[in-house]
Amino acid sequence: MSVLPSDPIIPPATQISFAPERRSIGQRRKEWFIEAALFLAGASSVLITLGIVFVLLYECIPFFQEVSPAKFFGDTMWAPVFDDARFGIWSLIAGTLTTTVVALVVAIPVGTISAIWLSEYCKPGIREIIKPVLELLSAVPTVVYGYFALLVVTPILQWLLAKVGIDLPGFNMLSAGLVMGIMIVPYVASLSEDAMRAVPMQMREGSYAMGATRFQTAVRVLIPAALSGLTAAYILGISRAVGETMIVAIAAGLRPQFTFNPTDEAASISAAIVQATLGDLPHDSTPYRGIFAAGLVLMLMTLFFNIAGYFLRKRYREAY
Amino acid sequence: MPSGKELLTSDTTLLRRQLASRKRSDMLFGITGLSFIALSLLVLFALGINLLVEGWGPLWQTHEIKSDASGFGRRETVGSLRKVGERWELHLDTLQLKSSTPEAELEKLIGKKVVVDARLPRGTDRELDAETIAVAAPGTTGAIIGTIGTSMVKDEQTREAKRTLVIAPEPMSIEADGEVLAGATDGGRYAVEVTGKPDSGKVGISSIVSLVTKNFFTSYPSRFPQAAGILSAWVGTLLVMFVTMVLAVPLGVAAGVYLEEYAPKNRLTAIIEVNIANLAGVPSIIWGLMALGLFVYILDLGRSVLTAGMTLGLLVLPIVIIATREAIRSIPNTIREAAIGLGATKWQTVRYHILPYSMSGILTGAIIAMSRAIGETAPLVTIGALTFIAFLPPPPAEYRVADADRAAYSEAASANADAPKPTATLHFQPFRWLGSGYTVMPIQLFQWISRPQKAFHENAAAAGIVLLVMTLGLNAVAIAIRYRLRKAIKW
Repeated sequence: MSVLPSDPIIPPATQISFAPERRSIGQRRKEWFIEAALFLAGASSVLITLGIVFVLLYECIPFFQEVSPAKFFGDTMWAPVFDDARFGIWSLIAGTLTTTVVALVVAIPVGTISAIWLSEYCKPGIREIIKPVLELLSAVPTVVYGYFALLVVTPILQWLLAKVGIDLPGFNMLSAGLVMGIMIVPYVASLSEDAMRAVPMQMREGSYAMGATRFQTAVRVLIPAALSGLTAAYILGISRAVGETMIVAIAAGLRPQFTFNPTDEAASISAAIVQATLGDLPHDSTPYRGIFAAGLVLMLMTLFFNIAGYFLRKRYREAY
Repeated sequence: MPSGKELLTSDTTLLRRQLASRKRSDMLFGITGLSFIALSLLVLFALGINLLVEGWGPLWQTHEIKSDASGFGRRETVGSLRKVGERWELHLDTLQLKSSTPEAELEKLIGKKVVVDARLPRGTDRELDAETIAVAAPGTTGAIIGTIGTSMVKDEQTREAKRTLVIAPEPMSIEADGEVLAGATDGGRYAVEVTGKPDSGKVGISSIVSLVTKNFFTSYPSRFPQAAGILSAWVGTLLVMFVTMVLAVPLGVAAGVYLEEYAPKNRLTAIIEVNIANLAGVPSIIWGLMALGLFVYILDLGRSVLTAGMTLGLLVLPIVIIATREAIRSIPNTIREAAIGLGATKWQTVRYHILPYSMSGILTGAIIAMSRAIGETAPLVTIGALTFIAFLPPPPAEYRVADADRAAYSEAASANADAPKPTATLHFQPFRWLGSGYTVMPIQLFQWISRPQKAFHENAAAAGIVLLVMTLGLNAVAIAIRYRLRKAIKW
């Protein structure tokens, strides 16, 4: 009675035979309709993906007919509404990468070490309390983080950096990146902890039996054993940071600039999209299509990281 | 190579030192881990404290009327409203103040709110929202000392309009949607109520009221930080969340049930699974672009509550699906076998066993999804939600004059001023709010952060408190359900 053509002779392990032929026609029809409806719901995710891809391509194909890909990928200036419009995606990619790197400099050490502490050092009772509280960090709306980065972290950084003679502008990628790093700490920590918990207990016990301390066990046994899981955690963290919008849009300014200096003002891809849609962007214009092209680049970047992360996670789950 | 026992007897100090160093590095790492966690939590704490310190004041700022503070008589003529081109100008003949130096008195009005209770000229409508009123200093013919922004609430039935005017220290530029970009009114504690009829050309000051007359939760956004509130924002958030929930929860649960209970293990299922994992990782701004292209332009749904709810509904769909699947997966197969053993069909098994047993897990996922959707800003900015919304979506039923009656009345009234007023009737419009413009909490917050004035930043902090209470509250509920679930169910 399946909507999908499945193999009738060898049913999948999770499926249990229901002897449908014994039931009344009305009953069978009802079951069929319900299954069809549920299948449509399940397939809706594919439709949504197709919708996203369709919209991006629908706007990008005319865009690349107006602006050649060579200009798009070979320019370092993004100024879509100037008379001499420029669509150099590299200035946006530079902003995206810089904020991401700053965020990872915070999130990877803090996240990994927190994860090791939670899974190896912490008593289970305390972990039950700390983990949900830590996860609240990623539940805070990003616009609130943007507020925090712009109005709290930036003044503190300005005061600190003034002591070493660096003049930090009011909008800068440093504070945006730092706050973004804090935001993805729970993300990295919880995925890393999952990966380390997946390491079989025997390996830990073996290490302890050899007289290793918790620190030695963590660094020399757990991290190598959980490496693919940790990498997946980092990659998914990167994907989060690359796609993050509001923190960067609020705290790093909205002026696209080709720079890798975190103390500069610059826009990431997502911030440039926000900036473009803030004003009244005329529909069916090249700048309007430009944000879809930028979105496509962002989508492909995160897609790459997400797929890599997905398969790495699958690998460590299968390994043990 | 000496054996352990030899080492122990020959050089215990070396061994002790090595053991101590091992222990120290172990301790040090433990302390580092603890301090990193503490640091993260400290950031959360600092964020909360900062919001409370900055936003507590504006959050509880309330009503405070001081009428007739300067002893104005009611409806004393102080000037006239004249239409100059497309804009109205308030010409103050004299301020009727006790002071003998009118300029100085007018100076005092700078930065204050003036409420004009005026009857709208016939044939005009809401478009008047964006008009500006220039003020001429008395005695100086035509010298404009400031521009006044207006916002207007029009009574549909009587066509009486109440305009809020503020005399700014400098001329303010006013955008088409009525948003003022410049002009600070800090310290504008008091407002002057001016009454008059533009038709008669006379305007009077009736009373002085405090500018801060409104509660943060029950007033609309305003270009004046003291008067600005989050009414349209929280109502908008509730409505958008309702649409999001209605879309995402049934669809997500159905998809989760299909994938766990029905889906054959074939390539299509594998594709759907990878696809859902990927959708969960699609940046929120991409959802905004999708909604902009598909919902706003291709399907032409406009920038409405419906569009916003659908966008966020699709955005959180993967979260609901994944939570549903995890909840269903934790139900042991024996339950299914027992149900089938009693002759239940697959749907009966799902309906009477699988869904009830996984309900708290699904509920947790749905709540987490809602808390994510409440804070989402970028996709809504992308679909153009960043506008000045000083109204609420229409209620499902309201008393109002039918559009046709109103048109007939305005036609009749232009000929005869004593034409009978049309009567308001009850209109049912259960879905009209779906097509209405809206604003939501995070958008309001973003708007206030983008302003240069500090007072708006305090409003942003106050809105941040409300938003944080909403999201963290939902998360706390989810954690509580999960905790109880873990305790209650032992398969």
